[in-house]
Amino acid sequence: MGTILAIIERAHRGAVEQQYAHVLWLVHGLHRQSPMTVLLRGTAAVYALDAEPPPRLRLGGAELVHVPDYRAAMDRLRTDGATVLVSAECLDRVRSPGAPLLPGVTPVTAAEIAATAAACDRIWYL
Amino acid sequence: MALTPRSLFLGLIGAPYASDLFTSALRIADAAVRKEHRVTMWTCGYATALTVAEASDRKPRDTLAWDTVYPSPAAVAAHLLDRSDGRLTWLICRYCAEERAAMNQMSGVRIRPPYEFVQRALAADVCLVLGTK
Repeated sequence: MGTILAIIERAHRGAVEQQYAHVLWLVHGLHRQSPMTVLLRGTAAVYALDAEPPPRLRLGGAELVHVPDYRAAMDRLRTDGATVLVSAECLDRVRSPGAPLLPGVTPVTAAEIAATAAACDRIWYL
Repeated sequence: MALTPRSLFLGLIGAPYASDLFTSALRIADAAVRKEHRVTMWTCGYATALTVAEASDRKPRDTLAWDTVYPSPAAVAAHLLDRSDGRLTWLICRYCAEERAAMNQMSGVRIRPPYEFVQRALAADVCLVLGTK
């Protein structure tokens, strides 16, 4: 059973709709069944940033909704041994200068992405 | 000084589960209602399916947090309607609902013919159409 390259290119796909069940939650679940290398590209490069914890969302006078916690999901991926890469080119577009990355995330060049893809048995866009 | 209540029309054209459009629309609607404005939420496309009567009031269980309850989008919509004192109206496009088998809607949501979209948008003091079809 070889490694799967999971490419994520879109971020923030519905806080109220998804809550816990966002793409990183899915990838983590898949990784526990079969080893994943995760590549963050496009706007999903923001998931690599060591950003503030998600804010609370009050609607109708109550905190009903669990806003997606992408940091926690990234931490679970790292803890469970998934390789997490982020496109350096995409990262430059979404990151303020000097903004730190989450632990365990490796920026990669386009050439390194190509080499990674060639080394994986399957490529999935999620 | 008290605000003069105004009418706000929110036309949600974009798809749910694709961006934070629906979340933004809910936040705008909630903020406006709390300031005693009247809000009409009009959903099109697959957003009409969020409020079907068959929708559970909670999301499926999270395998990583088995006992945590996550409200479904339908439950959030119902909560907003319940807390609005009648200032929030939730309408869905009949054409979009028919095409997606979403004609059986939860209590408080009304199905309207598509031509009313423009009528209601123009009649409102403020109109905001979110997303692209």
